[in-house]
Amino acid sequence: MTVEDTAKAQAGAKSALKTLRERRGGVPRELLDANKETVKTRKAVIDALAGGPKTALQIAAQTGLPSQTVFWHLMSMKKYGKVAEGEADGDYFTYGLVEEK
Amino acid sequence: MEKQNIKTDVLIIGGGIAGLQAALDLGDQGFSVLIVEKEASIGGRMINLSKVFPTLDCSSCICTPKMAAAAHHDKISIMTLAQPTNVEHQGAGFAVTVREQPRYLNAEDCTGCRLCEYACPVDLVHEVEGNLGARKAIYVPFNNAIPQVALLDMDNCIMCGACEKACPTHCIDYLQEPREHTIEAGAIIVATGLDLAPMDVKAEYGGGKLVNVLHGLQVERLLAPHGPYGRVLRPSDGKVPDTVAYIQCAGSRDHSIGIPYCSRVCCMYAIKQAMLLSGALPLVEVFIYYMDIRAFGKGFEEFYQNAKAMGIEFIKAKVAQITEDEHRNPVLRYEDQVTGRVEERAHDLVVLSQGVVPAWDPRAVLPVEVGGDGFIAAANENVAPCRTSITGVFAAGVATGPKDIPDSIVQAGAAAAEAAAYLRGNDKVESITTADRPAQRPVEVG
Repeated sequence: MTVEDTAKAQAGAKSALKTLRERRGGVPRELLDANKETVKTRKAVIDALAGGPKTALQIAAQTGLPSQTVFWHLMSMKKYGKVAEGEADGDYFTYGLVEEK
Repeated sequence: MEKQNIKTDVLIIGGGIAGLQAALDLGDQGFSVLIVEKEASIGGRMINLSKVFPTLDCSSCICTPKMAAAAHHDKISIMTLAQPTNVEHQGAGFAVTVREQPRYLNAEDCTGCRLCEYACPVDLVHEVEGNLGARKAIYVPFNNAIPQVALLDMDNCIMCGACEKACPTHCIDYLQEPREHTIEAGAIIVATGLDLAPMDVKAEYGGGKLVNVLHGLQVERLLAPHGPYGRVLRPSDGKVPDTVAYIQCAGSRDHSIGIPYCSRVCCMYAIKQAMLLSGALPLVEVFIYYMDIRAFGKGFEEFYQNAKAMGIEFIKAKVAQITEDEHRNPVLRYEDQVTGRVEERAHDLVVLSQGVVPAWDPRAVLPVEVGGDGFIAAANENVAPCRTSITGVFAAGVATGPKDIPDSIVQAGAAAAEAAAYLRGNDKVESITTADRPAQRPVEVG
């Protein structure tokens, strides 16, 4: 794709997105709220991992979040390369942040 | 809405292993075939299983080549995210209306690079991973999906534009609409497969609310190499389970939930999973709570005996209730039928062998006769098990009743042969010619 083609495609997508937003009447409130909650939880998990690798239970104890929620976020972050599995601590694996390159 | 007319010898509804096998058998004979699949990838249930019983062969290693063979076959076309909405007789064949949902991108230009997926800020529960793992609002369904093309979940899209910015081919099309197709087909094969009975079907088993009580297909994902956690862990806290319990006939052979029949595969997949768990977690103890073990197929009894020899514990008992302790361990209350005692035992993880139910009720679209169990009734179970009550409409796989993978494949081959004979007999073949066109023999009843 040439630079011109790319610029044209991006302008087209921007206009399509604007039309889509108008058709849907903006982003539905419940979607925004759910996403806000996810971002908040994700930040709490990342902050808890700043001190080094931890298990889901340790993060849950530190943040007050349910361990099930913490574990789901860890697995999502692991899938998308944000955390990596570390050593096992008894029956639980630890997870640590992956440094951004 | 954009409309398109397509002509094909055979329309196959469902792109799982039965639909794929029927398509390949017909395509190899020269018939043109169109597979319509409701999901974003073909492969059905089988592509997301870990291994198959009783051989313990890798499931996706068997299924993926068939998916690829169908996708690359000159005579086979595949339409994903598509479902029939109406079927009418047209001459000796059928006119089928199919609605295709948009992917919100140009599939021809998508390279499946997943850069959009990595850019998307929306985290969602992944249905393909049995709701255990995560996906984004735009995503490629799974690693070996065919087609290897992303789709945008518009219901959960926050319209931030990140996917378009990340896409190297600029294939995102936010304004794509559903498309309607009219398929002119000489014959139809229904191969719509299975669902499991819902987890909330039995209140006494936690009503689907206990986080460490899973169903068999979820455990298939835990055992799969590219599963949601990358290893076997339990969902409540990521613990490596020390004890796992299987409850057989949890959602089958039970009149109280409307599933009085045996689902035929649960005994064997529970034994298979127990063996795989023992391999993945050398210290795990696996218990199978059963009414009776039905190991009726080739090599099944030997498989069952091997499992016992491996130390998997079989407890003849019907579990009455599952509750949860303070560590979210499921606690089983059951009557041991050998000792007669009522016992309680906690496990780290419990797996319910949920009943197999049909994935699609065709009647609103295609009025074939359906049995009291919801599965498609054969024109004659003994002599024409692939024919339905409508001439020219055939059925294969679990759409006609619970069965395992080899039986589904055999029936798919039989349905393909029936459809081929029917097409030749009715002079409906467009893509091949033959001098020999026998009429379809009548179904012998009684």
